[in-house]
Amino acid sequence: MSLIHPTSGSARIFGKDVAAHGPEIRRDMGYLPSEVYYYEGMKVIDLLKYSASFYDCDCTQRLHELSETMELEMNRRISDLSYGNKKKVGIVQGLLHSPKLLFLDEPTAGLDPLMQRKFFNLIREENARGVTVFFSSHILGEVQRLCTRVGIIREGRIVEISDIRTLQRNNYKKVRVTAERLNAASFDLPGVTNMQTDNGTVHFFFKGDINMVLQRIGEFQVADVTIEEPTLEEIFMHYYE
Amino acid sequence: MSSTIYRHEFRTRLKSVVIWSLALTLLVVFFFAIFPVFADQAALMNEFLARYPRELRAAFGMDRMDLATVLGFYSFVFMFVQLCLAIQAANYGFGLVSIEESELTADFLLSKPVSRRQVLTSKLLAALTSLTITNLVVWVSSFVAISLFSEGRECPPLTLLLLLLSIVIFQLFFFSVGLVISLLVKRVRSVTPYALGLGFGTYVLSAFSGVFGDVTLELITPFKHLDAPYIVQHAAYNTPLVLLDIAVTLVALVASYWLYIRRDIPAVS
Repeated sequence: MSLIHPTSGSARIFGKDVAAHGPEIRRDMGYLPSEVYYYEGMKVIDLLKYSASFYDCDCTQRLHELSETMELEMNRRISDLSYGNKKKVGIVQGLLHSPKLLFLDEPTAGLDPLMQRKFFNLIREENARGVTVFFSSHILGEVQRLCTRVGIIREGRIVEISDIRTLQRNNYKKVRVTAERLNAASFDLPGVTNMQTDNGTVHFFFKGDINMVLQRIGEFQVADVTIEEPTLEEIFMHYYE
Repeated sequence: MSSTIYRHEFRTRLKSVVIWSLALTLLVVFFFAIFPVFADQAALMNEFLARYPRELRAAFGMDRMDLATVLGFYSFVFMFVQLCLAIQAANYGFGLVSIEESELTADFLLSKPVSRRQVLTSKLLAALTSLTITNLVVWVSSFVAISLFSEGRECPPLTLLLLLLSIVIFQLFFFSVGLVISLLVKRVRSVTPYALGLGFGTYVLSAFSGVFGDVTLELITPFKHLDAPYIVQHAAYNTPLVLLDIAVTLVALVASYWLYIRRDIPAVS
């Protein structure tokens, strides 16, 4: 965005250097900051038109489409809007020029669940058109639902970038078995961690060949068994532990 | 230059311009309306003023102006006009880019496909248009006031023109100095205190330098660079000081571009 300047290194977007070609690059970029602040005295429609006027395209139709989807009241003043409504203005504002690259920073904060769903559909549509979407969020459930690749940043450094599916597959499994005569020693295997026994049920995390666990389970008269992939949240916590 | 930003900036400032212009018109016309009384009883007035302490008269520059002449009185009015113009120009200068940061709209503007240079140029031109409108209003109201109340007394047009032309230089000084200060500090939380500080501060400096006759103070305050009594007395500018004024303005403008293009916009939150 060229809001701050690099202390070292360089970056390229669409094959252009971000420091030298900022305005050109930003033509195809949409940005939704996590905290949305706009000119307080303006009406929604005026702000959106102002925003649209920066781009070469005729965005009026797209503007109205989007605001209809997001149920935006066009004639209210920005200062009268609630946080969620401001966020909606931000979403429309970020999408109205049909960008090729989208940066969304905490886009769902303040939106009610219905709106969130509409918004996710919107993002999926954009994505299907070939738009690359960067989606930053603290709510990992929505990242898991929406994104294909995930990057985890810890203390300013990227510690992991990978496909969400592979991340989940290559990570440990959550196993829960309920059976008679079960105790912690029953699953004394390499790769088992976090063993907990609770009234005939054992929970544990397992990383390794799942067949070994299945064989052990087969030795018991099992009442109930679940083997799950961990949620993104659990994976994330794992990186911070 | 982006006409979009220019229009937006101009529109947001329009109300303020109208208010300043109205206030200045009222100031010039009503203040000047008492001129006939002064002129009619010139001897009495001068005697009356002579009773004030010399320092006080010096602070207002009254020791160097003859309030019985049209331009002498006008230069007295003009000093207050200058003070208002200084505060207005400093206000626009301080607020030009800092408002985007204090109201957190810089994110919005700078993620648009425009370069920093374009942003600053458009904002600059919009603010200068606003200042010029106020300037023109002062011209018109001065002409109106003088033609209404001078009652045929002599008024050298060239000197009046010099006075009015000085407004542009004067406004530019406060505008650009305000702008560069707002870019030098980390964050301007509220524009008005800064603007009032700069406007009144330099005015008071100029008043003090009148009291003490101190030369060094004259160098730093534009109220002295474009001292109305001086212009009226000599029918000319104090050329070295005016050149200094313009030089400071240019340096401030160039520095503003340099700083703004390199400025890091702090993340919101």
